[in-house]
Amino acid sequence: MLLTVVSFIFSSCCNEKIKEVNIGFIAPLSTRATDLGLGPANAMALAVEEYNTSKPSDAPVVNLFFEDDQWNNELAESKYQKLRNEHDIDLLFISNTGGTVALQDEILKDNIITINPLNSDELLSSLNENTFKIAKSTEAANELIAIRIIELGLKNVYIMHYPNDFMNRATKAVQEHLDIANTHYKIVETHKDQVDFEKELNEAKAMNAEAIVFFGYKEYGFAMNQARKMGIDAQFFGSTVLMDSEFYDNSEGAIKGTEFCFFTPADGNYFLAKEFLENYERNYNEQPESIWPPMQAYDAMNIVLQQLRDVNSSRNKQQHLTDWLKLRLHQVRFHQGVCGNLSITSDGSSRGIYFTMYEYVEKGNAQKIKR
Amino acid sequence: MNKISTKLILAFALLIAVLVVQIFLNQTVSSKANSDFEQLKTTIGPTIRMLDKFHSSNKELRLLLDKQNYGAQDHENENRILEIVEVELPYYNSEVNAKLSSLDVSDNKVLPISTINELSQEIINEVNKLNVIIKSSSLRNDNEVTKKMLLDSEEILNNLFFKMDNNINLLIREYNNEFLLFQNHLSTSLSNTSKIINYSGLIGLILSLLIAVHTIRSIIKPIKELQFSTRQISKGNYDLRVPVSGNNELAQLAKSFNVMADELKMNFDEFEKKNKELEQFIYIASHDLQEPLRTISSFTDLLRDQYHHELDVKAIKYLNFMTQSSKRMSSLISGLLDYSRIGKSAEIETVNCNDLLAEVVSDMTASIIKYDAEVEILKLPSIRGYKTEIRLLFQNLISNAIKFRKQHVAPNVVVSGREDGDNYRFEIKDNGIGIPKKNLESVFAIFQRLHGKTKFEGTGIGLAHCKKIIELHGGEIWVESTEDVGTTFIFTLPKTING
Repeated sequence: MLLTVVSFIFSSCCNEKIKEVNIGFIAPLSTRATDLGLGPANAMALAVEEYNTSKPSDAPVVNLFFEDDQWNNELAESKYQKLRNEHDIDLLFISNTGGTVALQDEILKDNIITINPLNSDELLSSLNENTFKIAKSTEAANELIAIRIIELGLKNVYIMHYPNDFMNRATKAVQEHLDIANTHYKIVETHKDQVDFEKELNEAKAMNAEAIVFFGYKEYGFAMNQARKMGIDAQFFGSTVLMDSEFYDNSEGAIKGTEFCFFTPADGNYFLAKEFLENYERNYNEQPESIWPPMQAYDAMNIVLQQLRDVNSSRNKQQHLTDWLKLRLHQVRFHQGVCGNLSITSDGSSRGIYFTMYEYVEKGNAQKIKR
Repeated sequence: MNKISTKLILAFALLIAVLVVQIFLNQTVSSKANSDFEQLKTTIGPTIRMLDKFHSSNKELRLLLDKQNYGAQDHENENRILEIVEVELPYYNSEVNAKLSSLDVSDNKVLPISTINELSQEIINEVNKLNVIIKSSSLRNDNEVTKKMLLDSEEILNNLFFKMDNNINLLIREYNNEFLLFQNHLSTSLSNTSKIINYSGLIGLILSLLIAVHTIRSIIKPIKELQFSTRQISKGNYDLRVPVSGNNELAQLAKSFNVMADELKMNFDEFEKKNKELEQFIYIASHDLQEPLRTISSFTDLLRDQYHHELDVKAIKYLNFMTQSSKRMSSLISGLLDYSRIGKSAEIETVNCNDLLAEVVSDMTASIIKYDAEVEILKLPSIRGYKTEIRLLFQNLISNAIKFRKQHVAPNVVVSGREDGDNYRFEIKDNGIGIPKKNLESVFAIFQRLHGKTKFEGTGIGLAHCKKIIELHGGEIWVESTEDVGTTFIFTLPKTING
């Protein structure tokens, strides 16, 4: 009798310990913007591997599962359900801004924390309390382009943007600054799989554009090539996704000289970032196509893993993992990551990742602009 | 209490008590030192380091803002300003604020912490405002208005940074004072620990010395007395007794020893008395046996001389047997008589062994010549002893060496002697037939013969004489031999001999 009672108490006590945490990551692993998905997936897997091999004995094992949304926010919900049903995930990472927005009701209902390791913007910050953004600020990164255009004294700015939330938000950040500076501009939203931009470029030529801003993905490589072929010598500007190799291929080299907002190890904690990239190369026999997305993803995952290390010793047994983790993430004041010294604010967005302006020099090679 | 075991237990208990007191005091002081060290290591030290970083961040921010205000346009500069304002200052501020919960309201650190908290927020707000001004100025190019706003902002920030510097310095000073205070506590604790170890060590050392001296006195001295008495008794001084003092284990041992010595003396006296009676009996018996033996011998001679014409050959032969047996019995009785006389009425004197051996060899000249023997006497020491008996000793041993020679080999005898510690050691070495190993022990027994009467004549008492002479002097005798190679008789005689 006594033995039964003791074993019951023992088993109920032990059941309260979290032995495993399943994390899902929805990212573009094929089709479009793979530089925003493949590298971050590898970086997260690396962080999880490092955690699992060095974690305290009573800390939970972390399992990571990936789903490919092809950079299409309409796939976010089905991918999320798949991760929930097949792997019973406790936590979700998702790169796509639109996808993050699309999952808001679901994650609140399931009490799941969602972390965007790619973008942080005003829209995302206004979402529910289960949503965190451990990433650069979209507005802050892209307004650099507007400041640069004004600084160079360029008139007649032609802005083309891809029809998604991120590019729309980037366009608005530039637009706001150009308005203040009274710079003339025109904004055009292109179609999703558009590869011929003759119409738009003719328009730019007609307005005698001195600057063309390409806020889009690899298809805009064709636009750049077309523009140069059409004799347009305006200064090109781009967003954070220019390092996708297909972008260069599509542009046939016309991308060279484009100025864009970007982030390299020199902008973060250099030695930590260098060590991370060395480990990355050792593990995957290659460097990530674009450096900043995996760097951000690595930091975002490490912030979560850092908390999980002592989940079983500091969590109130009645407290749900999500509630506990939410509190802990809000208390992150100083995380020395590869992107810099990060903190998380009360709206769930991070601080400490700051992009600067770079110039596209060669395929896969960008150089910081000296002002 | 007088018992040694009780004393030893008490002594160890005292030492253990000193050790326990030392451990207790050490633990108490060490625990305080540990607590001080922990406080320094985990609280005060990190806080001072954090405040230094806070201070540095503020200074860096001020420099970066100056650079920015004077027109330097640099994204890295701007990003660093953002990092300090958005991450570092709020972080350091929260760390400083967290200290408040552990402080008493009256603590000197409360005011600067509260002020830093307010100033920090004001600086962040002012820098954000400044950034907006700079950004809008670069976008609008309305420099005059901007210049005025920048100057105002710069003045406000300078004032805030000045106050911030003062308050952080004040806080650092407070923590440094606390650091010094704990450091002094730690130093005092360590010094006390050292004193405790030194003093208790000294007390332990003194106690150990006292116990050692006492133990030596109460244990070693009686043991030495006992040891001395044992030696004396072993030398024959049966009248010596160990002085008994106290009632401890060693006193009991001394008493037992004395009882044993009493018993030993009584037994020895009894043994000596019996021995004397036995020797008297041997002497009387051998002396009185000589007379009838002489009568038998003389009447046997008369029978042979006066009636030899009337006796046939067989009777004559029987008479000859009787004569031979009488002579042999006479020799045996003589030997016994000599044996019983050894040590009687003799006096100890200094014996020059070289002279003595010269006489012995001279007496044996006939035998030496007869058997072509060579007797080599090496340089011998002068000794104290019974001269007649020592002469007999050498005579017997040299005589044996010649007698038990190998056939067709001239006997060679070497006599040597030297000092050996408290004794003189002599060796009589020959090249004779040797003694079988199994007989080495029994050669010294009385009337012991290893060979037939016809092969080697003699009574078999010579070596028994030698053994008795050596024992009379308190020495030892033994033999080393290899068959067909030779024999060496070795004996020792003590340098000092009691008369």
